[in-house]
Amino acid sequence: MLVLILRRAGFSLFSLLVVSLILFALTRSIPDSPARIVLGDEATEEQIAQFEADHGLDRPVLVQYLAWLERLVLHGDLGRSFTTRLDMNAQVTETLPVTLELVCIGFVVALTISLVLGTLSALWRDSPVDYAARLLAVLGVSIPGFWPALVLVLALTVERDWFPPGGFVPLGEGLAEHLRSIALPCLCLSVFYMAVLTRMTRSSLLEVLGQDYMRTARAAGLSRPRVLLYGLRNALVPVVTIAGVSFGHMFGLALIIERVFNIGGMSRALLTAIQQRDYALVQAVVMMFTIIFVVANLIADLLNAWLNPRLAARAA
Amino acid sequence: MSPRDDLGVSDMAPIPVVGRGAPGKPLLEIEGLHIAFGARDRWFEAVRGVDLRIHAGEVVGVVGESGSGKSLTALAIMRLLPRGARISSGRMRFAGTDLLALDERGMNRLRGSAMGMIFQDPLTALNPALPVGHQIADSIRTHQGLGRAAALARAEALLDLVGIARPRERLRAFPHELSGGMRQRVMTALAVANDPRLLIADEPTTALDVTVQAQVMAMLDRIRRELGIAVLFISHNLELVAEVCDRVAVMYAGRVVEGAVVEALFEAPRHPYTRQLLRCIPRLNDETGPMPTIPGLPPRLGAIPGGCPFAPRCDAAFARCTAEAPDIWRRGDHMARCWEALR
Repeated sequence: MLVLILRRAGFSLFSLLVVSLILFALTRSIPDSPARIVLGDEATEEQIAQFEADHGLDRPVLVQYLAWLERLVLHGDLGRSFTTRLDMNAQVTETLPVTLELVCIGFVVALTISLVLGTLSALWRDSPVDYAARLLAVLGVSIPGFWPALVLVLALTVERDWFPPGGFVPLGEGLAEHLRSIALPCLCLSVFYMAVLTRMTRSSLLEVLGQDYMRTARAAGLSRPRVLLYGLRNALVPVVTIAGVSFGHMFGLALIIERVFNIGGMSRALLTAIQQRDYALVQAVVMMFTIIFVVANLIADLLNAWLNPRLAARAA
Repeated sequence: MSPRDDLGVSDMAPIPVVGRGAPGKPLLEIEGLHIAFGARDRWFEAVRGVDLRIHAGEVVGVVGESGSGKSLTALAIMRLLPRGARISSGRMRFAGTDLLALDERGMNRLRGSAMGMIFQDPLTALNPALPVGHQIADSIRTHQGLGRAAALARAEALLDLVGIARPRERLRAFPHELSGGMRQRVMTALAVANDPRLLIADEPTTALDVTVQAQVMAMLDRIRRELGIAVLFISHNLELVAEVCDRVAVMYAGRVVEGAVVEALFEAPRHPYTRQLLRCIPRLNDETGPMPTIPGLPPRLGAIPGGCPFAPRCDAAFARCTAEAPDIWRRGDHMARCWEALR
């Protein structure tokens, strides 16, 4: 098991390195020098050369990359924005927790509901519960992410006044208000993933329920709940994999949802950075997302190795 | 010290080991069992009136080609028929209990306890995600209410009983870490974990190599003798049946077509199907030439012909065979469902 953890962690680290290299090369391959963007069209060649020298932009890209990597890894320093001169660590620490909270709550909601619904759907196959769950799953994957957000805002905040139409109330200003402000965003965030994970749970459990070893468990006289627990342990493997990917993927949708509900999370930082062509900040935000994505997948992999040791044995 | 005591089971009444043709009430009695497949208003009968009796300590073999309904019959006893199949009529009594009157909880008390079952493919029949010791211990805890440690200790004794070396280490092994023969031994340990009175073995050696097959059969035979368990042995292998069984039932198209004590069946078969099956057993000293086979195929589900279902493939069939379902020929313990036998 330890060998497996080390292997997987090593592989994750390697993918992070590759992504960071690609990311760095992409942001540096944009034809406009950051100096031109910051200083404007009127800046002279000398001014630009001076700016590039000040910020180390005149060095070879590989040297720049290694310097950036060294700061990031050894000091956890994301650097400063070229345009606003703001410390990006401050910006990330300010906005990341907001997005992280939305995604975590949305993820837990999606996972809980889909596990329950998917299990019931598989157990009571072709029952009204199953039909409802399948309908919900089809709707959830087909509707674009922002649409339920708009509808909910219209129905529950503009016409009724049940929830605030937007904005983020920090936890410090009262738990109830805080929860009210994030309820709709979290719900909207979870719909798509709820649908995907429900379908996955249902189909995976259905497959497992037909396996010989489930019949063996029943032939051994184990009670229904016990047999189901056996089955879930086997059926969860693909669900965990998809859940791991979903968690990272949810940050992408969170950007849109934050925009719709006017929440000052990572989306504000990223979209502003893109508009202002603040490539250093884009790079920092995307790097953060990548780290979260890779870590989520690493956890999913290890969880699966525990759930199904045969997979682990095959991988090692 | 008897093997039973060795396994820590002393509170159960001793089960008399009775030889063939045992008198008295049978342990398992099946009468007119019908099993249908289908949905809504389209049902096909796959088992069409099976009668079967097994006495305590007796080994009864059921042979037939695939699709003859032998495995379905076995699953029906455990009430573990696959989705879409149901018992449409018949009676099944096990040790005085009406099996068809039991609810799920009542069945669960019997399954894995008084009735154990060994399945054909030990690779797919064991849960790949759990150590084998865990799987055996779970069954023991369910039926005997033992604690974890005590259940594992008993599981270890069971692995030893089925001839697995270093049983303590093997408790922690996952099925994929064991060979096919070992897995079938584990499967056997699971099936006899709670001292069953009846063991149903559905083609227990079909998925194994021939050499391993012999070892596993020897192990099964030893265990059922030591523990005095009655065995329902499902197989398509007549040779194996001849070695281990007291009585044999030959099934064809959902019915028992011939039933007899094993010697009678092999020495004086009355049904042409049995005779042709016996002719198909390959022998090592046979002169070269094509292997004998039975021409034609068994009838498809839902398309079983009227009269005797074997008539189209039978070398002894005459006019009456295709016209009328055969009556039963009977002499003592020996029965056959055949017009030719009655002539």
